[in-house]
Amino acid sequence: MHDTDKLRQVVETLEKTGGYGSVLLRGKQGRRAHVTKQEEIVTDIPEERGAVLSLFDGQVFHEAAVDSHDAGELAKAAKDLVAKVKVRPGLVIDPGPAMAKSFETKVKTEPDRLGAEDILAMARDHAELAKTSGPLVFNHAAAVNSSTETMTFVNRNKALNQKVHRVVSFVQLFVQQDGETRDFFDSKGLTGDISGVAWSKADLAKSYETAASLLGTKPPAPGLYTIGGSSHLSGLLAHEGFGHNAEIDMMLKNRSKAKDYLGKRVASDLVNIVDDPTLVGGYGGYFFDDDGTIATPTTIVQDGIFKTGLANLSSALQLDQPVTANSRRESYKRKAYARMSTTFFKPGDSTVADIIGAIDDGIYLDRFQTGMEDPKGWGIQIKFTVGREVKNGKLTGKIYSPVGLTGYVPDILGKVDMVAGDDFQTEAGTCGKGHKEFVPNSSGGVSIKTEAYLG
Amino acid sequence: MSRELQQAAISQLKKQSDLHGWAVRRIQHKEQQFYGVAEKADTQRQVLSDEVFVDVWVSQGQHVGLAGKLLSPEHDLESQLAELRAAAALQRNPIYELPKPAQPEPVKLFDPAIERLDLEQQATKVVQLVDSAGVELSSQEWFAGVAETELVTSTGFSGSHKNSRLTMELVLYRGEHERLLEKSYRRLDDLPLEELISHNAKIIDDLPKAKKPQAAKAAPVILSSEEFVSGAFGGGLLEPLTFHAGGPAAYQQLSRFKTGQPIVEAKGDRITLSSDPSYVFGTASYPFDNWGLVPKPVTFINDGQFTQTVADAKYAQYLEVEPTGGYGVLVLAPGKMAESELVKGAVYVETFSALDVDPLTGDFFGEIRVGYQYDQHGQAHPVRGGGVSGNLFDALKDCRLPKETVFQGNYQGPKSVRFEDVTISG
Repeated sequence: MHDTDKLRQVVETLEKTGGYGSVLLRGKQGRRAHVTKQEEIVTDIPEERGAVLSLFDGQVFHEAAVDSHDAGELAKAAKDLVAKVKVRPGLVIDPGPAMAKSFETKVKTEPDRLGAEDILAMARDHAELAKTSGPLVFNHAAAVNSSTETMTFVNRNKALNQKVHRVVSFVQLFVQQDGETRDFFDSKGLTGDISGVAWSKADLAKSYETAASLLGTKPPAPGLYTIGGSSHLSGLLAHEGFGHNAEIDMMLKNRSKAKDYLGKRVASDLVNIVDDPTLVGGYGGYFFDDDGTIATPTTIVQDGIFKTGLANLSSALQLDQPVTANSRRESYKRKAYARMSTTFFKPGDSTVADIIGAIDDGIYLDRFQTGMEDPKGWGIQIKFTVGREVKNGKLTGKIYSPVGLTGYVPDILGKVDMVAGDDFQTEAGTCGKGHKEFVPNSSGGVSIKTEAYLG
Repeated sequence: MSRELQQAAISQLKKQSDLHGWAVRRIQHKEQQFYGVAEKADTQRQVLSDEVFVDVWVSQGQHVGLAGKLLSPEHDLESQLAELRAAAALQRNPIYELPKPAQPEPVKLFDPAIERLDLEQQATKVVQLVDSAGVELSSQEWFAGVAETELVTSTGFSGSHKNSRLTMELVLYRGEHERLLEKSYRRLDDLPLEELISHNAKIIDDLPKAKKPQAAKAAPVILSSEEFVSGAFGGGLLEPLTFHAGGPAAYQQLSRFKTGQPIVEAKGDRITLSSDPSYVFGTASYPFDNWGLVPKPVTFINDGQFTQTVADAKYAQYLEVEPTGGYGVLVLAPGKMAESELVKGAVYVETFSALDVDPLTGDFFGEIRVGYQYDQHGQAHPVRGGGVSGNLFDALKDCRLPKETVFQGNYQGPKSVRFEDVTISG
């Protein structure tokens, strides 16, 4: 915990210019263990410890970022910053209501009490399960990562502290047969207790089954397909397909076509997409954002209509849009942008069985590898590890892999004609703004049915 | 304060003679950042950091472990080092030694012009160039940084180097069509700003006429070198080659390459690929690695044959091969034909939304953000949308490289590659 009075003095120094000032302290620490057939590592994760002093001059944000939380060093940095900035007539920032709060992710075991030996033991257990999961496994890897991110935000009215505990684990199976090698990567991640990312024998049996099924597979013939897909499809459509479109700093830059669709239809009326940093366990979650805005859910698409964008303070101010809790930065060394947290398709009324039963000839997609947005052109690309062939409403057992999906987002979302309600889940990941600025993130939802180009 | 922390860490570690090894690295970094939206400044930042990182190795019999961390000046040094020792002692990896101390050769990585660069003036220049090119500016971001690294290790190695880096992200547009330009160099003069803006303005002119390419199970496709080495999801198109030629893949028995054997049975151009850590102003160049190994330039694929594993000190000892250090700038030998000849009858992919490459299998896939369909006479018609997918090892069996080359900071070599049998999904 930091001395709020001293940080507020730094804010006062910044605001003597007549502009708006704030101080953000960021920290990240934790451990990771990585175990393969041949090697093991347990070490600290790349740490972060720094501060951002922000001063808005009416038109431009000026920031000094330093690698210290020391109040004396911050006071000096504030004086140096103030000397360079002249406040100009322009926009005025509301510092928000007076508020002093502290938040922390609920956990059973404090991450501070988790020693290197605990993390390594867990990774070794997972590696052993991976190694013995099936006869075709010839190599394997398992990793466990436990981190605690701390943030302190102070402006003239607010004094906020948060501790977010993120845990993630993965297993990777390398299977080999007749000279062919394939790998399958599976992960679990959440904000919460490390026990939530443990792998069981049954989990690894499923992973092995999938890994072995990839041997000898090929991508499908290129063309337009009727597709079903798990939360890996709906989550990526929510995130890459529409979430990035809804980031309003992209609208400010004229980089999002969604700017012209606020209040208009962008999807079928079965589509409901939400960004929620407060979703319990969501790997992309937090309690307040980098601008000190308290986290709340944002409905991006409701019944197919684009309702609300995701905002950082700077862009909301310039576009006269509501501020949402979506201002995030990669580290103190980078600027904050409008970013997603945990973004998902809300459940509907169908079931997974209904969706597969309704496909005459198509592919049910699962396990995304990567995805990329195109807010200006509304294109999308997603790569899946698993495509299960469906004929006459039944899975045939034939697997396609890898499967690339491309298309025009409004076409794909507009053709969503079934949304399940019985398989909601979110996946942990990392999201970039374009090709940089990576932040922890999650996406997910439920199974859906639509059409898209595959290849 | 970091100077004192660095000295104190070295002093304490020198007293711990039972350690298998240690390395103390101090990095001082100063960076100016400018973020503009349209013609206006949005945010200006200065980032200052001075950080000390420590690695310690603990051996027990024939096993060794390594743990590292960023030292905190706010916590007790002794207990931080004790924590590292404890973590390292938990690991049971086959023993290896830190590299023997060597005198690093100086590598030119610092350009004072980047340190002096006025980013506001640079941004104003961009506004003028974009205006002259007849397109609009969506946004611009500039990062001009200087870093100084000092390394001291338990073997007696002591070295330092200073480097500069200028990174740019520009977005140009007109109407519905945009181009994202990302570049990173160590020398200001390497950034071809005017050429980049005019070339991409021309592409924006073409985009309204773009159609989806015709779907084909096997078609000739040319991929621009833009995503050869660094892609949105990792190492780019060449990553399967660097993965399979690297020490980790060989040690984990994942490599498909065998020394002295062709990487594929090629009927087209056979590639020659080198790693050069001493490439002047290369963004991947480095005079020594984090453990004090002085790297060597190495041609690891020569005329289509795998010649040598690229390995750091640890993997070199595990594999009993010569240590080369990790990869530097990747240098691909050019082909003999003019690119203007190679494009005939092919789809030329200028940019993907993001090229996804699986380093293990070599499978690649990407949505075409911008491309051109060339007819047999070399006439180009813009295309966008649809996906390109294939497998690098299959594609290399029948590929052609042009004679024209580019330097992209971490890559030097042909401007593109032509593959004869790649799938295009419409």
